[in-house]
Amino acid sequence: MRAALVKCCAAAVAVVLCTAVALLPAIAPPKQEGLFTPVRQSAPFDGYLYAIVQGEGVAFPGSYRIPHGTTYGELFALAGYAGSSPYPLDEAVRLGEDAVLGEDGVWRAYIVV
Amino acid sequence: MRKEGEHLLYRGKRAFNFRPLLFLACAFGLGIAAACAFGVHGLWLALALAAAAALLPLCFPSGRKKPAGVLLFALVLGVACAAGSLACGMRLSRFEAYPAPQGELTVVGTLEEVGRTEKTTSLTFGDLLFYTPEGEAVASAARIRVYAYGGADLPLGARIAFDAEVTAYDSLSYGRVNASYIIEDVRYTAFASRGDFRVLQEGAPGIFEAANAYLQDILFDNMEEENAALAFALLTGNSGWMDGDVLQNFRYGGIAHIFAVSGMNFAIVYAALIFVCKKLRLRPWLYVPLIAAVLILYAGVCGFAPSAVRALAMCLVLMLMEAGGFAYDRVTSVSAAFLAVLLIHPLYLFSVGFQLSVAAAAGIIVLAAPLSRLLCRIRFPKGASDALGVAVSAQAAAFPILIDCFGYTSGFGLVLNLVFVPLVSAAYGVLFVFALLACILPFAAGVLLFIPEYLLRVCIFPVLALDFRFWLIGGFTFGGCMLLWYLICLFLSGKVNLRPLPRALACLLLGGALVAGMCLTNLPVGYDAAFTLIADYGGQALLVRHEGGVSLVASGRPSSDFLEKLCLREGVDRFAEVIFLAPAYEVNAALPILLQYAEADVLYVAEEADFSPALFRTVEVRAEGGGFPFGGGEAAFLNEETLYWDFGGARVLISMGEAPERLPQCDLLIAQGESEALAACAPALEAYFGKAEGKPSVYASGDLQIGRKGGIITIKGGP
Repeated sequence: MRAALVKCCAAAVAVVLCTAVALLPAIAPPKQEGLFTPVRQSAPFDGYLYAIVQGEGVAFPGSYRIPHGTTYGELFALAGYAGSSPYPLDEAVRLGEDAVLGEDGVWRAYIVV
Repeated sequence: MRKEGEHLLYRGKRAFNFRPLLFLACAFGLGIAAACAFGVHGLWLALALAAAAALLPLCFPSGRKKPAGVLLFALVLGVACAAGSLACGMRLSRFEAYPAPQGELTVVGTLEEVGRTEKTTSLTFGDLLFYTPEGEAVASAARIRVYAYGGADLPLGARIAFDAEVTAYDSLSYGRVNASYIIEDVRYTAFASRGDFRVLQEGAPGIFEAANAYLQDILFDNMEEENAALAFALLTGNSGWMDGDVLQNFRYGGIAHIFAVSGMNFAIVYAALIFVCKKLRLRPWLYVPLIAAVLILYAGVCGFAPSAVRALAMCLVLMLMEAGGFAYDRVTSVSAAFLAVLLIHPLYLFSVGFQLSVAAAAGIIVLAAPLSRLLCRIRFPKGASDALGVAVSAQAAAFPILIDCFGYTSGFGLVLNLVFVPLVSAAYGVLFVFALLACILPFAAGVLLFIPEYLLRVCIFPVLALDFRFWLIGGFTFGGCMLLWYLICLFLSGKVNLRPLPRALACLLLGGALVAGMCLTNLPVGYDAAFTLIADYGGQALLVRHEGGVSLVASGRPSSDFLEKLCLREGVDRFAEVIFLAPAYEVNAALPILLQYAEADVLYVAEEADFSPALFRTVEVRAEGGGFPFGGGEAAFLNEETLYWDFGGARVLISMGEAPERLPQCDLLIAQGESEALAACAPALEAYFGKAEGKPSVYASGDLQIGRKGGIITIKGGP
């Protein structure tokens, strides 16, 4: 019993000493916020571009707002064009080549068939 | 077979041996981590830990525990956790409370330390006074580290004035805790050139600085410069005088740790001293303070570098435990040393050197013996089994830390450490004794230093002759999965006394969780496409992997270290497309640096830039005026430093400098820092490389992963 009491006292002294050593060198109010800043932010994006389709055989010529990744085939189907095309029908509308980036940040393609 | 009365999961009376110091050290460390993660709210963890410690023994009833003892220990654990949390929070708050005058200032300070880097001399000043251009004086108890170009032969202890652009360090930058700056109280940094310094008042260096300078003079006066630099690095941890390429080769080989004055050095010095003391039959009350004094002097000569202080604390604790007859258990000894180091400064927990030391020591304690037994079972010689067991266990424990901190580790490192470290340890022992003698008998220094010089030359010959930049393991990070790695090591070691079947099941489950976690951490799971923003003080970059390969957009003037780390960490040795958003002369300088570490197929430059494509034969240079395919989408230069990129329908504006007057609207703005000009593009999301209050930034959260899926763009980062 006595040995246990001595052990407890020694441990208590050790804990107090350790706490003092840990806390005394920097007496200041502890930092309120954590250091790490986890980030998780999301936002929807439009992802549309405008394509103007004109030419002979185009049933509905005009400007179309098409989602990113729309193929030439899908665009021509919208515009009602079924003739021969210099554009690859199964490929998406090429932004750098056929579409031009406007100052408002919108890509516009001008397609004449 | 299970005996009657035995537990279903574990053998014997308990699943693991109860070690109070191990639990206390862990609680203290947990408190520190909680303070860094949650600030003052981390204190709740102490309460939760105490409650868990009080309740957990009920799950493993052994019949011997007294409720009062359990409750008391739970309370002590809670106190330890709270103490760790408060100690860390208070140190962080004190560091951040130092005044932070920034900009072009006149600084007056006392020169306290001189070090070397590859291109500059680093000077650390204390007792600071800043004078602003308006004449206001601001005093600070923190220190400033000035990197001086062209060398600076200034007297230690002198009061010196200089003009410089001063920047304040934060507690955290680019997702990493600036542990070494906080520990060393270095709050400010600046760059200066030799002519900027004016000595106001001569002063005397301290005893440790004088001893360091004396040792340096003795070595450099009596050895060849190359060997003297190596000897000085081994003895004091200051490798600034070494050849940069040789040092880098040590790093590639995974053996650069020999130049950090750490456990190895102190262990050898301690072993030598204790051997002498025991031969002289000195009593512990005499040799303990004597050895402690010598070790403290040695740490002082090493400039009380963090690694030296850590090793000193560990060595002193182990010596005291051994002298006091408490060294009955190696786990307890290392726990005591761990606690002692964290009591000196809690931020040591985030010091890579400390993490590696503890991991290696713990790895050896936990894994070396079972590994060695396993090797003996397959008929390996006993000596070889022991050596291999120690080397493999230390490497296994250090592996995730090396990967996450440096981006790579050497696959050849195991062999090199196995061969090289014992050799260098022996050479270091000889060097220490002879250098000490040379300092005592300077007239005979030339003769005395001949033997260690010869030994060192033999030792480092393979490093000079071979290039270790091969078989580097990298290209992934562990992140939180590190914990799973260590749990697997623990279960495999047998320290948790599980029966074979539960152990195998636990390892399988943990292994599965590790694989899944690593995939989630390293692959863009859940996105149609993703890219990463990476930055540190050396540069900023955007890296995108797509079907056509890996594309890179980087800032101008990226440092060599930044690009090397980027390539190794991301496991990239070839870029399909590269863009440096910078003026032509900076692109011209940046590309050769990149080509040192990876190949590049195509370099895109803005058409308006005056860039000569004929300069690079191995890289196709394309000057683009309109849209061009890039990073799996389409891109267009708005000027030399601004790029507009269509990322699968999401409009991304990347600015690494001055933006053009008119900006198109965008969905995501990526820039170095906030500016009013950039706000014109009205982005839905913003991500910055540098500091940006309240906005996602690499500076605050570390690497940011940006992905898109189904018309939603997401920024993810942080722990």
